[in-house]
Amino acid sequence: MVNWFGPEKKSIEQLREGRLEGLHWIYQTYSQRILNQCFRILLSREQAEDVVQDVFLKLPDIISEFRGESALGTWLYRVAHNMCLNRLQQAKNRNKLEWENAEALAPRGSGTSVELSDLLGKALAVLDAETRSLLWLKEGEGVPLKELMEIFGLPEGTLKSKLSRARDRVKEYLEKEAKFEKV
Amino acid sequence: MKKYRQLFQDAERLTPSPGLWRLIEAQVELPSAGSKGGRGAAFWQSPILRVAASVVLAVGCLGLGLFMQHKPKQVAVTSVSAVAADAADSEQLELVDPELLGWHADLGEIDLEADEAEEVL
Repeated sequence: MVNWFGPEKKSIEQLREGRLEGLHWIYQTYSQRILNQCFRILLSREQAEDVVQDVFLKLPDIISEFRGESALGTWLYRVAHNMCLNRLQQAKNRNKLEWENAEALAPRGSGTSVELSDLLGKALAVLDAETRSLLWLKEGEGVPLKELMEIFGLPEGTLKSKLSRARDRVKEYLEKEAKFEKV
Repeated sequence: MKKYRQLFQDAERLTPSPGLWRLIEAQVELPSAGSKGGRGAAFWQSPILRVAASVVLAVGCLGLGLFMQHKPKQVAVTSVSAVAADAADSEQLELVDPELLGWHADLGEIDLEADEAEEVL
């Protein structure tokens, strides 16, 4: 829920009134978390920044869809998550089209430039984009299960089993590939 | 398990490039004040104000209900008083002295005789 008397409410109202300071407050508060979520989904800093830019450019138009039933951060995570998945889908379709036209025969993976400098990045890369997002938000950002249900639109049981499978896969990877002693 | 959690805690966290906000600031199209979803929408999205508006609406409906409940009674009272007035009128008619009416008739006859006399003259 939105704190209707706090700076969050004020900034939402300012944004609805077309005032830049409202958008700036939201950017300062949430851009880093959104950037890291996008980075874990897209595995590319450049693309993650593109999505953050898109989110904040579209925010003045889509803020009317925000009803205040969830926290603004939760809603922004959902918006960013959907934008990232759309981007991946578009890249996949583009690659498929190129493949069908036989113009680009070299496989291009998911269409993202993978930056796997850290161990976690490599471990998360074994998961699909949605599961990466889910695991990062739970373990990396500490988002509660209730909010994850809102972001992913999934029931608690499904989320728990997805998280459990994802943890197992990451641990398995860490034990095998990274010679992690005991995870 | 501890190391697994540590891995997430120690994970690289990116910060947005310094120029990212400037790019957004330069490109963003903000709605003009008073357009759809402006102050009015924000006003109605405040739960306190929504509750207040609901209370006002409920009181209004209650008042209308009470008014409608009392109105037929008023009509009935009006009808009853109208009937009573009619009855009183008829009673008043009955109260007129028949002798007075006879006298009034005599006056008419006298008038007629006077008219006839004038015609003869």
